[in-house]
Amino acid sequence: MEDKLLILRFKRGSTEALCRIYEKYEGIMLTAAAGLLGDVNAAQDVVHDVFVAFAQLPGRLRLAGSLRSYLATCVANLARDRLRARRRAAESLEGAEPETESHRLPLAQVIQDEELGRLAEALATLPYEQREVIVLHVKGDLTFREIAGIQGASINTIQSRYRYGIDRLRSLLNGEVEK
Amino acid sequence: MKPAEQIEQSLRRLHIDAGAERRERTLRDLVAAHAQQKRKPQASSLRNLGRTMMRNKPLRFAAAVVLAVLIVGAFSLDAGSVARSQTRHVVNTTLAWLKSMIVGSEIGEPPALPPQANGTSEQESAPTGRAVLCEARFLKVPPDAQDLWQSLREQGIELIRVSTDPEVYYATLDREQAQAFDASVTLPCFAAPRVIVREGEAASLAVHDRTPQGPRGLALAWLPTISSDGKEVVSTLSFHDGRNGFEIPNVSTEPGGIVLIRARGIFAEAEADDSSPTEVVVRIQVNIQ
Repeated sequence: MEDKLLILRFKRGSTEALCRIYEKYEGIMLTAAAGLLGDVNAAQDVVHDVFVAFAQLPGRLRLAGSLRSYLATCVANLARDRLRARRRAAESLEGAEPETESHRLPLAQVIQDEELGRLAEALATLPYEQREVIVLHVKGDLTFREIAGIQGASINTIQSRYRYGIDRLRSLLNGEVEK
Repeated sequence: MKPAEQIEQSLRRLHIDAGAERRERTLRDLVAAHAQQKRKPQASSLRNLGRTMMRNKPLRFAAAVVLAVLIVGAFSLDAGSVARSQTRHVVNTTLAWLKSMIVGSEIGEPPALPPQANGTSEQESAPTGRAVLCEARFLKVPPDAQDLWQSLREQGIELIRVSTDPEVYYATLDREQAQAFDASVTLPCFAAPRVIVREGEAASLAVHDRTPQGPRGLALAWLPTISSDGKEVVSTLSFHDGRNGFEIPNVSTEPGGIVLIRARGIFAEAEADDSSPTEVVVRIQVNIQ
C-alpha cells in the first residue's frame, strides 16, 4: 500500500516521495546489482543510473507489477548491459586486463558476517543466468513467470535454473554454513 | 546438508548499503534530475541519459594537430519531441561521417561544410527568429589537474553524473560562476569552435585530427530553444567520438551561462595508459544574440 501511495505522489511531482523510494529500495537494489555483477563499485554505478533514470519518469511511469520488481528488473537489465560492455572492452583490448578490474570490490569483501561472506563468494561462481534468476526471485520478489519474460525462456527452464543454482550454492557451502 | 529454504533465507539476509556519502550524492543527483524533469515536461521523452548510441572497435590515438570543422544543420521546429528527432537527425548525419572518418581508411568531406569553416569560425543564421550563439571550448584535463574538481565543489559547482559508460558529468553555471570558472581554470584548450543558430535549429560541431595511429574525432550536436521571456536557453546536447556517445537533454542556462561537461574515456589518446583514460572538459557558453 505504501508503495502505491509513494508512486502516486511521485507521479504528481513529489520529490519527497522520490527520495523515500530511493531510501527504501537503495540497499536491496545495491545488493541485487552487486550479486549480479560481483562488484560493489560497479553495482553502485548501476543503482545510481537506475534511480536517476527513474527520477525522470514520473509522467510516463506505468507499473505492471510491484515497484520493487520494476526496480529489480531495471537493475538486472542495466547490469546485463554493463557486463556485455565489459566483455566487449576486454575483447577489444585483446587480452589486456580491463581498466575496471583494478577498481573491483567483490561483494564478499564488504559483508561482515563470515557465513554470508561465503555465500556471496559462492553466488559469484554461479553461471550468470542462474545468478540472475536467484537474485531477481529472492531480492526482486519477481515470480518465475516474470523472470521467464525477462530471460526469454520457459517457466520450466527458469525453475530449473533456480533449482540448479540453489543446489550449487548448497553444495559449495556444505559443511561451512551448516550449523 | 543445508536445505534450500535455509539458503534462500541466508540470501534474503545478504544486504549491503551504499554508505552515507554515496547515498547523499545519489540523492542530490536524483533531486536535480527530478527538478529538471519537472521544469521541462514537454521534452520528457528525452530520457535516456548517457545512452550509448553506437559502438565500434576501439582505436587508440596519439595527439596531433587539431582541426575543428563546423557543420550547421538548418532545420526548423517547434516543440521538444521534434527537437529530439531533429537533434538525432543532425547527430546521425554528422556521426555517420565521423564514424567513417575514424574507422575508414580515407577521411571524407563533412556532410555540409559551410564557407570559411575552421576552428574559430562563425556561421551567421538567417535574420528571422532569435539567434543563439554557442561558444564551445574543448579543454584537455592533464592527469595532475585532478584537484580541479575539488576546487569547483568549493565554488559551489556540483557536477551531476549523466552516464557511467562513458563516464560523463555536467553542471550548469550562471554568468557569475562562468566568470569565476574562466578566471580560475587554466586547462589547455585544443579547439574553440562557435556557431550561431536560430532557436529551434540544430547545429553540429566536430573536432577531429589525424594521429600516427589514424584519425580520431568528437562530434557535438546542439539544439537550443529560448524561453518566452528570454531569460533561459534550453539546450539539448549530444556527443559522439565514433565509438561512444551520450546525450544531455534540456539543459537550462541563463544567457551568458555555461554548460560544463566532464567526460572520461572519450576522444581517446594513444599516450594515455589504460589506468588513466583521456579526460576532457567541454565548456559551452550560450548567449542570445
